[in-house]
Amino acid sequence: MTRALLAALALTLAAGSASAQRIHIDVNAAQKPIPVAVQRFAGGDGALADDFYGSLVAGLEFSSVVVHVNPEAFVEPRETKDFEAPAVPCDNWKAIGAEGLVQGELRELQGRAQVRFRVWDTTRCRLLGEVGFRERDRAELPTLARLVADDIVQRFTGRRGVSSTEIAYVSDDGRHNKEIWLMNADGSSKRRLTNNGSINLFPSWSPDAKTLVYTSFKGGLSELYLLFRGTRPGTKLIQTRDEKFRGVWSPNDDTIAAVVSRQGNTDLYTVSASGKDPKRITEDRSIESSPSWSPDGRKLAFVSDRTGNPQIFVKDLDSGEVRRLTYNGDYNASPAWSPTGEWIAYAAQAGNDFDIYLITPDGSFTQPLVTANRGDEDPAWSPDGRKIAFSSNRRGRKEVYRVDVNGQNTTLLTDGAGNCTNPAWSPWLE
Amino acid sequence: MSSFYVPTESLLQSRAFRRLLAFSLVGHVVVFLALVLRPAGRTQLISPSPVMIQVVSAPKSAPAKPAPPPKEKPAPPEPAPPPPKPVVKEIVIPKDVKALPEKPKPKPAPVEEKKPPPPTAEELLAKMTEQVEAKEAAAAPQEAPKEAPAATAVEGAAGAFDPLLSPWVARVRTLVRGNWSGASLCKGTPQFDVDIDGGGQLTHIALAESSGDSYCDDTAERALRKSNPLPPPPRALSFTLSLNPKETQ
Repeated sequence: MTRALLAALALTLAAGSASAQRIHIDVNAAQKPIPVAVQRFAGGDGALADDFYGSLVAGLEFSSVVVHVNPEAFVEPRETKDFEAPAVPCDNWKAIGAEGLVQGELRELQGRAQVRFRVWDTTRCRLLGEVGFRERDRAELPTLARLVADDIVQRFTGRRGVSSTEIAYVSDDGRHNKEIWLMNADGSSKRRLTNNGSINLFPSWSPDAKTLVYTSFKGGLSELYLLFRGTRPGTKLIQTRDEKFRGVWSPNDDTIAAVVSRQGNTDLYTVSASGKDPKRITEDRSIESSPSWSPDGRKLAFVSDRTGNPQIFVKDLDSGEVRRLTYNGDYNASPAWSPTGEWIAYAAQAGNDFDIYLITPDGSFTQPLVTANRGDEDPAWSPDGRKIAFSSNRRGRKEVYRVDVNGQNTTLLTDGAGNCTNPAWSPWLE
Repeated sequence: MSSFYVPTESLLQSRAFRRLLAFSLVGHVVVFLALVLRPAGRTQLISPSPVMIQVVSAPKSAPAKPAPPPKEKPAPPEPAPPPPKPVVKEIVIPKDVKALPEKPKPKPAPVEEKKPPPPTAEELLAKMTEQVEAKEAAAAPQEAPKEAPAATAVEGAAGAFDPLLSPWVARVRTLVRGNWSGASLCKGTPQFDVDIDGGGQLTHIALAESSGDSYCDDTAERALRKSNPLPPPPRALSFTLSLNPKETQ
């Protein structure tokens, strides 16, 4: 009793002491997504709201950064009652562990679905951003929900989510030809884009996600073609008689880096999206291939065997300087520069197969990302730089997977009859 | 009349008897005077070889009453009362037991009996303030203190373990870590200056050093606010909290 009294007095004393002690506490992270409560949006018929809610929650969780709180735990109503209310009972949302709250209203007008939504930070009890608004055709309700989900992710992370993006890839569909296919980033809605019965490879997106450049043997030789959204027919990119093996679109303009074989020497060139203004980038007698643009479009990473075996090099397009990036291993290929500029992912040979590694663009640091027992190749970044799609034969045939950049949440995206390779993750669609 | 012997001369009339009587009288007077005038202390010797120890009564009772005069003393002629002594009993113990003359030195009963009035809360707090400050001053480095060493002292440097503060720091670390969501956004390490009151309530949060990404900073601030109130600290304090996105076990 006396001791407790003394302790209490000491605490009071210290509280009043002007010389309160300042200490330093370090806290390390437990990698957890941000818990956000999502109220079912007001308005709309029941089916409309239910469909929207399901796609919205799935889109949020696709980010791996945000997770929705189970509505069973809600103290407050599960549905938005008053979208215009100036305040929300933040304590009731905090009490269930939610750091954020999403409210909204949904209505259908002349075949269009319209959504208004707002996002609360319940720990500070303030709105994150303005009221959001989006609309799509009623038939595209899942896409609308994913777009809203990506907007919500942006309010918590500063970068839009990527659930509304798409992945182009190559599939033989169990046959002898290879066609270009497209799917949503979560693996849903697979549809074939080419149907020429030939070999079609290496799709690459334009910055506005409206055009693909790809390689096809449909004319007999290896050529580069453009494929447009909508009804516009595809075209050949370069009209010369040289063989063109691969085209890679610049991330910020209409320049395409092309691998061209001229007089038996394979080098890198750049050409405009109209096929004009060709410019030779490398002039070595070795083979240069697999170009990947830096986010600012001023450097190119590529593969060259100029040192005897395939390694990754980086060329500064302004200065012309070329430097070797990889030194470990006898075969490093498929460089993919991240949209954030922090990393270059690549495939490194390990035994008879490949693993996927990350290396900093200055080569100072390397770390493995995907090292399954079988072959993992063709890394392709999501536009937010938080995920990578890749192909792997870990289940026998080649399939496309995605993985978070921290190596977690590996997910199979293709599960068809054939082999799937060459994934190309689209930029944001809008 | 019968013929009995009837002295014809009394003893007093006898010269020899008178001499004998005078000797006897002088002798008695001498003996009486010798008894009356001899030194008084000699009468206290009861045993030829006693060992004296003092048994001091409990301090509580000693000052309550003045010590009664020793009963066995002859009525002393001294006018002054005996000096204030605790109750002393004389007992005989074996010679090999040493007396402890120094420790139980009796205190002046009347003086000690009056306790000072109980200290007021202010006095107690002032005294404790002195003690705390003296303790902190003793623990402080001799040279001019820098902020960082003082701040990291609790962090586990050898010899810096604070039995009160260190467990609290561990609890805070666990709590905030558990509430930190979205740390994967962070590349840098945001730092917050935090004040709390005695109950652990956050009274002030300020971003001391940004991670370079405001969204990362927000995740860290949400972790702090979600952790409010923190465990009551052993003493009121301010702290700088660094949230490092590096994951640990």
